[in-house]
Amino acid sequence: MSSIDTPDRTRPQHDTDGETGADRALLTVRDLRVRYRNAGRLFEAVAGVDLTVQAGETLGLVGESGCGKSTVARAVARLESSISGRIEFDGEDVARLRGKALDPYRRRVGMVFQDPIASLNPRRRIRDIIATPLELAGDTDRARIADRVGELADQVGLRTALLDRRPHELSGGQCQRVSIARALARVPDLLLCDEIVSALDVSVQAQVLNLLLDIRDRRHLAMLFISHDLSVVRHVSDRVAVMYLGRLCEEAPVDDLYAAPAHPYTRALLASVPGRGANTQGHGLLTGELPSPIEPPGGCRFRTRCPLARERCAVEEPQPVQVRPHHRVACHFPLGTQIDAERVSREAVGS
Amino acid sequence: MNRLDNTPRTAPEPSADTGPEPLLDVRDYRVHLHSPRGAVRAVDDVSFTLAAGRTLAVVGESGSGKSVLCRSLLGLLPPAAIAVRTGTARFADLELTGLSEQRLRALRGRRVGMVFQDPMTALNPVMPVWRQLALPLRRHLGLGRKAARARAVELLDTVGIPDPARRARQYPVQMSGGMRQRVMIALALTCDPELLIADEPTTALDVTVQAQILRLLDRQRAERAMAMILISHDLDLVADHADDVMVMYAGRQAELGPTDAVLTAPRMPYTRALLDTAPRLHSVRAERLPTIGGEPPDLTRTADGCAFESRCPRADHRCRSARPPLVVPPGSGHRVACRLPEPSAPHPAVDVVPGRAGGVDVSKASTP
Repeated sequence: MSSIDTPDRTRPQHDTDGETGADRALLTVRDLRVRYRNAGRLFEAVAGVDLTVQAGETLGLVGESGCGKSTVARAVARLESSISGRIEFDGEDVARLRGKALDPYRRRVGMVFQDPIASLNPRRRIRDIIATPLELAGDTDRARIADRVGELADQVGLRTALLDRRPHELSGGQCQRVSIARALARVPDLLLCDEIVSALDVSVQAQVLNLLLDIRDRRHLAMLFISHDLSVVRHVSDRVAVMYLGRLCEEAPVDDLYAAPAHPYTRALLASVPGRGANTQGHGLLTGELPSPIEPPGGCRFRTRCPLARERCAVEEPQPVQVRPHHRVACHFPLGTQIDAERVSREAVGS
Repeated sequence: MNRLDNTPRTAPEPSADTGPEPLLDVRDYRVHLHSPRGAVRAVDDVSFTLAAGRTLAVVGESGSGKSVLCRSLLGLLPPAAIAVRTGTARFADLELTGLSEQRLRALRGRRVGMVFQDPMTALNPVMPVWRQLALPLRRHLGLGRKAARARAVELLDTVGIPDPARRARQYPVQMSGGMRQRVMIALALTCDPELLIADEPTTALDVTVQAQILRLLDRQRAERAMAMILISHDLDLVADHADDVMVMYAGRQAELGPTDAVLTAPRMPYTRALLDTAPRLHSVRAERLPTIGGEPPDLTRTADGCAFESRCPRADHRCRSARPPLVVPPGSGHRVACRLPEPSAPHPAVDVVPGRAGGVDVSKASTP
């Protein structure tokens, strides 16, 4: 498991994909909790989440708004103040680091946000925006920075003529390319992408996704890819984790999850996606709305909207169990399993 | 200045269409908007009809003109923004382009309901929900305060809001996004409109809530025999919820026809590219998504030819010189604005009935 640990954390140009470090956990999150204060009351927006991202792997994270998926990314980027749990990056627990001690970690983690225009400083030229992380890293050689900016712009397909413009003069897709270039400036190993194509038109979305996947594959980047769009997540991810109300309900390799969801919530999410007339019938659709994370239901958090909920779900919080290889689900009655079959037959007898 | 060119036209001849008189009949409709760089041709010669009880989806990317089209029909654009508005838009017994602001106001909220993408900005944040619902009931239907309140609670119940009496007393901020959108729909339905215009009604919502809201809209449309215009960028959503679809590009119509025909056998390369470019839940996972090269055209300039020509893989000189008319190509069940349409799907060429007489007037198509 112990792989090359660059002692000074400054990574050399990462173009040697020699050792892919198969199954090397780059990021391991254990029992992550993030607390917020609302009207004087503390609550957990993220209530004990475990995640692993292997080097070069893309983990998709899906869920409805308010489920805590963005908070997970922000906590991993160490942008949240009130966190507990472990965030191990390359073997080191970065959740405990403070201030300057975080710099080497931040250099290796890039982040791209949803709103392409709002996440860029409107008063600065594109050239300076992309250069900022280089300057923060202590580079003072203007010529070298200029070269690097040109190189990055080229990688993300930005014409050099655009470098002297300001964000409002660019389209949404172009701004998102700038954000990606900025995130790549310090040659990260992990890219945190939070709804990065949600604000874009589909044709532009395709361009940005293609660009991102090209860079990922070329540089062997790991990604935590957060989106509410299940089709986009399916397209980019190797594995997918589903969140509901601050907790993980299911995690599986992408094809397994989409073909055979084991958690009723995952099934409902998939059934809600338009296309093929699926949701006009109303099968498997959820009723009601997301409960408040401030007062989550006891037991299983999904039970108030779950069509299969039983007494046990109200009293006992389900712990993640493995239903198939690499497929874990936190449900007392996972779909497509022996338990589920027993439930179905019991209900058939009962009725 | 003659800002609004809204000289009432003579009523269109009853068309040779087989169906009943359409509820909405829009012809040769153009809207150009002022911009610092000159007039933007936001809606460029659009014609369509919509019958009672049917849903027409208007799809396209940002800047395609889909929202401007619907807003201008209802007089919702600031008059000072409009450089040119021509064409006709007949709604039941009224010519919309000739209506005064006062008469348009009487129409909106009464005969035409509207649902917008962002319910938070469309609802009044400092007024309890029931009072917002009561406004049109009192104004348009002349109900008294008490009756309006009772009716408001009933409406909230109709749109599936639990505990409607309590919710009626709440303010929009106290509700979730899905709940607010239900209130918007209740508001749009207050006076039993003949036409409902829903502009990206679920874009700001989660998929599970989106599915609920669309089912609600479908059910209400069917129960009330309302016509609906559903503006959306999501082709999968349109496939599930619309009878007809109109694809727009750069202010112009790209394709128009029954949803099945347009989406299963698109002929205009833009529609096909749009369908291919989005990752789909049920499609094969490809390594790379097909993309559309180039960028949308500058709408302050007139394209003499097809607006998609510069990005189209099939285009040749004919596409550059003259604007393609919206016609039914051989082998198609719908109308397409393309001189070199993609090969038709392997359907036997059905006896093609030309679209409604009129449509886009070919003879005028290439005038700059």
